Amino acid sequence: MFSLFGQVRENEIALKNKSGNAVHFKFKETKVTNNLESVSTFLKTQFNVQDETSFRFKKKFGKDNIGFETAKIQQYYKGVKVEFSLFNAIAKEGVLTSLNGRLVKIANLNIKPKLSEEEALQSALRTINAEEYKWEDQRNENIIKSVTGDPNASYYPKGDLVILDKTSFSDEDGVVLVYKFDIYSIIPFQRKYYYIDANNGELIFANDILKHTNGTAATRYSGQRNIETEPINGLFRLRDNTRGNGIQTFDMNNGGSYSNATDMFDNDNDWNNTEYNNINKLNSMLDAHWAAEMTYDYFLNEHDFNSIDNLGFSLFNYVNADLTQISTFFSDSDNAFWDGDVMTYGIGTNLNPFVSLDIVAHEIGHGLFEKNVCNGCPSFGEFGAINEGLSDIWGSMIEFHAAPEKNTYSLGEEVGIVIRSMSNPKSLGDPDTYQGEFWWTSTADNGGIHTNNSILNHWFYLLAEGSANTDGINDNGDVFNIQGIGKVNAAKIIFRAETTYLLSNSDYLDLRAFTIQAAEDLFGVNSLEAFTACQSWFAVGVGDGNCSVEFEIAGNEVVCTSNTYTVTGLPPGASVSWSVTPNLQIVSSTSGSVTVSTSSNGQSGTIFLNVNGSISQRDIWLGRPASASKIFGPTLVNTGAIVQYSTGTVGGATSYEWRLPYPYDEVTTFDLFGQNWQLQLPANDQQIRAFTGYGQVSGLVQVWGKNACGNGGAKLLSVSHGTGGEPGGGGIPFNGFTNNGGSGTTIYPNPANDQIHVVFKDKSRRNIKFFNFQGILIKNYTSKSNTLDIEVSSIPNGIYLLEINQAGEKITEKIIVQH
Amino acid sequence: MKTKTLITFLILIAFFGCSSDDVNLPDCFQNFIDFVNDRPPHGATIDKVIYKEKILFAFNSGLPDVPVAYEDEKCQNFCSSGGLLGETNCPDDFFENLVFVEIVWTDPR
Repeated sequence: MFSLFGQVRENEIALKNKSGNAVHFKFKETKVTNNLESVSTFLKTQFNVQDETSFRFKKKFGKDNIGFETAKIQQYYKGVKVEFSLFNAIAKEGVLTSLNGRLVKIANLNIKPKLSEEEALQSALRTINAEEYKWEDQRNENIIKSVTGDPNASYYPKGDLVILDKTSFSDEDGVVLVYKFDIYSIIPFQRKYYYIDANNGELIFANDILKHTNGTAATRYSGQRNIETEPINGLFRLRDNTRGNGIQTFDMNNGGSYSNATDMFDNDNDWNNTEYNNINKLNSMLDAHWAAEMTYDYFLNEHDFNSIDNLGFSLFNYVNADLTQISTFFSDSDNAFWDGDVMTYGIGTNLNPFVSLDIVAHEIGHGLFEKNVCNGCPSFGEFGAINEGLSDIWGSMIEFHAAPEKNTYSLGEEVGIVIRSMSNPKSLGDPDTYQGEFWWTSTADNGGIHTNNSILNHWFYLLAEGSANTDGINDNGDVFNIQGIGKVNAAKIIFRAETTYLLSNSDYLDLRAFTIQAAEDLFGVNSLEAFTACQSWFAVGVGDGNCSVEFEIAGNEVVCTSNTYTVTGLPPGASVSWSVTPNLQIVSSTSGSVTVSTSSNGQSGTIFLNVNGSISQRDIWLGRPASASKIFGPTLVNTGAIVQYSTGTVGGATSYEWRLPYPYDEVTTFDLFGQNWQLQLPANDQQIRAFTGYGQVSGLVQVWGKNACGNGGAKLLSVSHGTGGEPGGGGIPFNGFTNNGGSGTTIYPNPANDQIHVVFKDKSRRNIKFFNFQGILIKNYTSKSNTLDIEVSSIPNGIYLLEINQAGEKITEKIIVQH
Repeated sequence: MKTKTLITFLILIAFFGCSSDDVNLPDCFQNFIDFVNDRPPHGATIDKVIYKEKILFAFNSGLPDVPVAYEDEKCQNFCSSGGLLGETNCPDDFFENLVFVEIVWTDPR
């Protein structure tokens, strides 16, 4: 029986789509020869399409390794490619055995676009709105020219006019004439084919180019791990498009040529031992790829840093290199290095391939250093040792992050040698004390950068883990007892020090300061973390042991009989003890609080808190304040004068109380012509200002301190009437005092620094103007009050005129402003 | 790159005392300079040094884990020092008897 759908028999249709159209033919009786004309004729007849539809080879017939002839045939409409409409034709002995694909029926489609290619591109870019595109970075442009060998190659998108069948990516029907663009953006990192309606610029469909998938990898050193790979042509290769700008791993094939480095492909994304654990050490590729992914994840997850430059820097691994073929100054392949652009890992000569997790992280760590501290600085001396130490730290922390079961503080053990021990450097002949035993002094190894870095390594170990597993004494004879702050916080400190503070000429003493600063930034000034960073430097012989951290001991300023004082923020497991001066007694204590008592008065005492060897203290006052001992101010005063008195600080006083010769009346309305002393400033402070009045001015000025326990002893100052007669005359302790007797107005001080106080004889409406000496009006007031304060703190030094207009009368005073 | 190569060329001509027609850099020099030029600059140098009357050249790329190689005028490797392992295969008294003579080449970038 022949098919209702065309010329083939029904039993020759192996598969139909959901619309009932044949998409797979398995030929039994129908004979179609293996040339384009026959296949085209068959398809047109089978699907009943007109001559506007045509077919072209995408790949001509060719024999595969089992004798079949295969071809790929593309559909066109009026000469325009129909996207995704492709047929696989399989033949044997010249006749098709099967044909599969999907044909798009198109009728009356206008293939002349209304938009130009550039107009459509601009429309696409407006839609994408990326911050940066691949073609905008000249380095990328250079790379594509180099890779393609075409000097005109560019990432700048070129549009292809194609026909897109909406059913190929959605439930909608219909075909659209579109421009297809390959648009590669860096921020955000994505590369897609964008299909833009060629008539109105609308985005019809976007198809990811940067594809990725999860694979499993049997690594050489780290067992079975998950990795990200890239599918390509039905295979998978070690390219991770999900992390930053990508991670790519290439095989140097035991050679030294980067241009001959190759991708390693897998057919099912299961990169297993059978395939890669072989004489060529191909499983090293898996270690490097996974380790670079773990390194990327660590910096992102733990430090919120996108790759080594925080911009997603692409990480390229070149694995299984014969280093001696790269350059003659490599004597063997037992090495790995970062070269400013990429990482290269030796295949190993006497040792195993240099791709263990900590070594890969170490090399990428050099990239972090270069991108954030000094790009291109030669690695030498203490600066070079710091560079190496930082890389060792990242090697250990990334190893711990991704494989905590490994020996965190030992570098390189998986390649067959323990290169460095961070916990016990001396066990490998490296120093644990700055300029101590094993400290490298010759110029070998660029000044011993791979030896003296152990100072930084051991500092980090002590900071993170503490000194419990060490002998607690360094080569200087300094004894230390350090409680570690943990790996996470220690790593935060060194990361910030490296990426924020470290400079191209830094040495260990600089780094000490930078790490303490970083700890203070992260955890606070006087934090335990900053203290421990400092202590750990002391332990490795860098800087003195003058490390302190002050915990705040909270509680009352004054203790009358007993009080409780508390401390918060103690680290878990901290060693804590309390002590006090002899005039205090400890009633009870816990790690977070102490209750003290006293029977003393008028003296100070101190509470001490010892946390992991760092002493914090709180001075408190016991009982009533001490006696006041001084009053500063005039003993001869005039009537009608303004005077100022002050006292020294009285121990234990939380406030002060004053008495004036005649019980003062703290007035809010100043009575310039009153009889009694009047206080102008509050009397609970150490300094007062008062008006003597016009009555009896002689008597005692008195002051005493006060606190919650009571009053301290008073200080008395005998004051008597002075001479001079005029208000503001002799005995006035502070600067100038102008009295315009005719108007009854007092102006003071003069010269003035910050304010001029004007006191009128009554409350009347007045206009007050303040001019500079050139006659330019500076300030203008209208007031009904009997006082006015004029702010002059921001006015330049000089001579000014104060003009007061009242009831048609004008008075003018010269004022000097002097700061 | 042409400019850099020219500068390198002129410096080394001066050192080897050759005319521009017959200059022929020893392989290890050219190899080192090629290695350096293929990578971002790191202050690479070639120093002329003497160890117990033996003239050597110290090839220092400035890269953190790349060893410094000491080779003679015929590009025979005398010893190396450095690398990720921090190892040296130089004689024990090598560095204390090493006398710096002059810088032969510096990365001009």
